[in-house]
Amino acid sequence: MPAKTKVAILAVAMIAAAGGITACGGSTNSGGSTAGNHAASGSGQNSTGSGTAAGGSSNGVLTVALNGNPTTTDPYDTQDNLSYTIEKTMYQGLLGFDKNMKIVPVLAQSYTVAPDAKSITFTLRQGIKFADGTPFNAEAVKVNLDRAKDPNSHLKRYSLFSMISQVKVLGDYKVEVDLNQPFGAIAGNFAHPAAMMISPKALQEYGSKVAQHPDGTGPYEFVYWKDGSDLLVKQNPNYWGTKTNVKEIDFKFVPDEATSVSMLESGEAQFVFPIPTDQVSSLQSNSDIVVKHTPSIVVDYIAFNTTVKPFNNPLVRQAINYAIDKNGFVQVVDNGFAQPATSAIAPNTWGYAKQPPYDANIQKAKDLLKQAGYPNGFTATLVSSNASGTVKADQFIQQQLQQVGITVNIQPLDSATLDSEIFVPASQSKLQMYFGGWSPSTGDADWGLRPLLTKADFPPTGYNLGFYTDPVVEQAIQAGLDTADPTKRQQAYATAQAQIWKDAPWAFLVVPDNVFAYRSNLQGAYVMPDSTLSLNNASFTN
Amino acid sequence: MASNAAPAPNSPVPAPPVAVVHRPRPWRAFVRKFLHQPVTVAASVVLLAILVAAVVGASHYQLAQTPDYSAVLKPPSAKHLFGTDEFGRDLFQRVLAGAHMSILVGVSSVFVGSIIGTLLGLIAGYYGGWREGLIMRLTDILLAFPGIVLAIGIMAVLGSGMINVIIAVAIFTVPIFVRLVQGTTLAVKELTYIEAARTVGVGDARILFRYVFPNVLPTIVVYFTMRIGSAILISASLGFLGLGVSPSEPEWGAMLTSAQEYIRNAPWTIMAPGLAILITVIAFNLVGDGLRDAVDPKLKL
Repeated sequence: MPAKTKVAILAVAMIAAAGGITACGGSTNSGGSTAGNHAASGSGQNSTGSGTAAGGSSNGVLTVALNGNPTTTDPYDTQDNLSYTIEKTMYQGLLGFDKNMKIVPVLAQSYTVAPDAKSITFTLRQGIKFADGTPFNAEAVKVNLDRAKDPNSHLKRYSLFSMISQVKVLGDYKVEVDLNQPFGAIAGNFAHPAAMMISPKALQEYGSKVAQHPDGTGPYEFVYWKDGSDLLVKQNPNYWGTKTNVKEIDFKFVPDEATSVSMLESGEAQFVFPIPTDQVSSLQSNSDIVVKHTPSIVVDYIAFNTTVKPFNNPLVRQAINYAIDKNGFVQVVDNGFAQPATSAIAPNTWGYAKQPPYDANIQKAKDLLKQAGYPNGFTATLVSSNASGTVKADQFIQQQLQQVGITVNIQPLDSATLDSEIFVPASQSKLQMYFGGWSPSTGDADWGLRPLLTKADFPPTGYNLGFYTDPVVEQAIQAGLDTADPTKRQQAYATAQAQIWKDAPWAFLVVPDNVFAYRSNLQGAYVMPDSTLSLNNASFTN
Repeated sequence: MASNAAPAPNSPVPAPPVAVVHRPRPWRAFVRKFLHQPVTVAASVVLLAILVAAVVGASHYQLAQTPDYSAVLKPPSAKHLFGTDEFGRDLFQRVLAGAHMSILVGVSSVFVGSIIGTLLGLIAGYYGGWREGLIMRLTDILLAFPGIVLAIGIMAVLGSGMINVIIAVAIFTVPIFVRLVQGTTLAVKELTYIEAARTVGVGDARILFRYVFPNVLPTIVVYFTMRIGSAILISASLGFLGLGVSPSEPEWGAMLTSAQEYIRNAPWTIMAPGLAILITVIAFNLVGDGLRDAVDPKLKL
């Protein structure tokens, strides 16, 4: 009998040790610290593989492993990039982004923004049908936007459309969208995947349940969505563009990154994003697999609560910027797949202006702390999400700040607890430091700065977690919205970025790469700088 | 070892030995039986080494936390016996410092849990009635939860931190001891000498601690040792799930969490804390097994 228990104990202990191997998958939310970046090389629009029946093992089915579950298929109600990735195969917007985040017309043939930035007019492409056969025209655009701008629709992306006052149908294929205030960044809002067009028939038929019956103009149409398992789309017979030899796309939800890497190696999946940066070298040695990394538009930063001591002192905030070695962060936390941040927004964001770097300088950091009245440093708490990559970043920050005498207590929290910590008014906020990332999905400086660093976006409703406000910044960001003139807007955002950089409401850390990998017989699939996938031109070569 | 044929070490002879004249020497019998189990002896040696490591480990905390970015994820070598982790921290130092934390959590939580559990078990078993009903039903409720679920629930309420891990594991240990002690007490209180003590007017407290408790003690000691193994496992699981100590601490479970990222290209990062848990838990359980067999062959758990 003792022998039996001993075996049992052994088994239990081994399971415990092995527990380390399974359990706890990754997580990455839209703003979160995804991996990612450098040398954009998705082969974009070019040749669509001549192969007809997409031979080989693929059978025309492209299997994509994603690191989580989608939340919805209604673009107007979506807040995560994973859901957008799926939606973008079924839906298209009036405008969109190319692989460098430049705004390009999609369902619109052309567009013009009024000089006073109070309206935008679209001329639509003709002869396009939704998957259910409904024709795409000005009326369809109006139905979509009327729904989006109505607060009673309770859609999560209302803030992108709240400035729309009315939608005027000027002809079968011409629409004018009027705004209730100047909004110079409006084209970016229409290029955002949240503004993709849903079939008016589906909207009418299914109402608020349209997420279960997605219907758009994209190259693929919805087949099924098995919760927690996969979502399948198949080629849309009504698609107006060039069809490729990818007949179906199967999105598999695989929260554990190690599992998705194995799926790629075995050929079970043909495209995987994100790839953990420390697996890149082992994947690169496999000739059947291509590993790519492209720059993202995410900025990873630490937000300081500028209303509490010691972080209300700009000297302290600057000291922390000097104390953290950004190149070390790139190497240690992101395994080289990132660039040090050079502004509050990433270089691929429209309106970016490069700032002089805060080079790592321990002595300078110590001097600044002394000047601020903290010669012996202090103790502070750093909160963040509990995703594994984020926790690694937390620890690096902790180690770096230890060198200048700042003791950091790390608190990685699950998303619900984290939200309840950070989305509280200044008077109740116990926040000191927050580590996170932000991806401005409109690709415009406005969305990179306004929601994070202006007074109107203080928690609990906004994302300005450190309650930072500065008259120069407020004024410049407003000036950027008041005009549609790109030169003036660029200038305004340059002013704002310079002031933010000097005030250091954040510790500016890195712009991570998007790291992805695919089977070598796949081409034309890549990750966009906004961390969504572009799969519509994907094809198999064999 | 088993050459002493005469006294037949495994025969189910209870406390009074065959010899008539001499006082019974339970300790000697115990030691003899204990030493007759080679596996237990080996496990005890390992356990002793772990305890020494735990004591030494306390002073290695600073070393265990020192990063070296030029030596990230290095395999085991003469310089780094167990290799280094993703921040270039020496895994040998971390496992050592982790031994201190794990043993501290394991021993102190089971100690607290067993004291509370024993008291409640004695009361329930000895008095019976409504006290028994109340205590045993509460115990049943706690036992109805799988251990780890209970611990996770408690951590969710208390928040993270080492003290809270100890409290969580202690609470999870209490019902097991209540059950154990109550059962033994029920059997013991019917014995004639207890009845005799009661008739001559000895007080309840004295009976409980002078006469009942010593009978329960061997069971407690055996179970105490075995529960430390589970306590370490539970606290490592909590650490693994991110519910225990801060992730930068050299705690075995927390080390496993960060190491799982590197299992493909740096498997030693998971081996070091994983084996440490494995060996420690096995050692505690084997010693517990051996103790049980040595204390009383009739005592079946």
